Amino acid sequence: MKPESENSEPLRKLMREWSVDAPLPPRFQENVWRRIERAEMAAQAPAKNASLWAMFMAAVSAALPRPAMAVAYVAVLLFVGAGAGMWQARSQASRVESELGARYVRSVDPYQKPPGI
Amino acid sequence: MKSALGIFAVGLAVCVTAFCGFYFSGTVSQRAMLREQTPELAWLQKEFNLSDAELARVTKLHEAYQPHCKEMCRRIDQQNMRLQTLLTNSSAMTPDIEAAIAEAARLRGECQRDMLRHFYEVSQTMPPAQGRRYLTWISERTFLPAHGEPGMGQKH
Repeated sequence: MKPESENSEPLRKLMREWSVDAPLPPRFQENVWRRIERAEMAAQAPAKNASLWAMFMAAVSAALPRPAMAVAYVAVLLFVGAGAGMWQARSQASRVESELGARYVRSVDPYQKPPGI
Repeated sequence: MKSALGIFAVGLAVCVTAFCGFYFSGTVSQRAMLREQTPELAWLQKEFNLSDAELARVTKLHEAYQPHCKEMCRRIDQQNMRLQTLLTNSSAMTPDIEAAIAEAARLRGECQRDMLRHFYEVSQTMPPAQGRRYLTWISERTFLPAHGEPGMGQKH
């Protein structure tokens, strides 16, 4: 392999003499920019989603360790859990009591017993 | 990040614990009733604020009434089957069908009379106000059902 300095001079000379006569296709420049733009948009789309998630996680990570925020978060979940538990218990208790009342009526009224009993 | 995750987990655990705690404490008396030998009588005790002695008297009356109630059920089933057979084999009103309908009505009357006698006995073992409330409640569900609700003569 020859050193670069020995090769470069004839190559430079050749490049200087080289000229392109063929015309460019119509709207060549505009098409090139459009392709660049499209490629950039495709590359940015997933990054944008990822950055939203990352931003959310960063916000949560920054906010939750603050004592006031942590207390508020736990208090809200305590309230939600207690409310849901109370509501569910009330509905279940009402259902059981209604069923037991109906069972008592069936036990004393022969016309409300299932046939064959 | 680690402390945020820890707080997040603590929040969830608090939520689940609060749910379970309130749910189980809110249904404790219903679960106790369901564990009883006769849950419907346990319900009666709670609904009409009966003392243990009153419940014992109601239970005694209830148990004494059950064999008669079962016998009535058997007779009602038998009568319904007889009427069903007559209706299946006939395309017009016959003396047999008329007799079966009359017998069903007689049976219903007998059943109502015995039930009402039992309800009065039960109501008399309760404190007066609860006894009246019991009579109103049970009458609405046995003698005076609203249209479309199950009650006398609508089940079989």
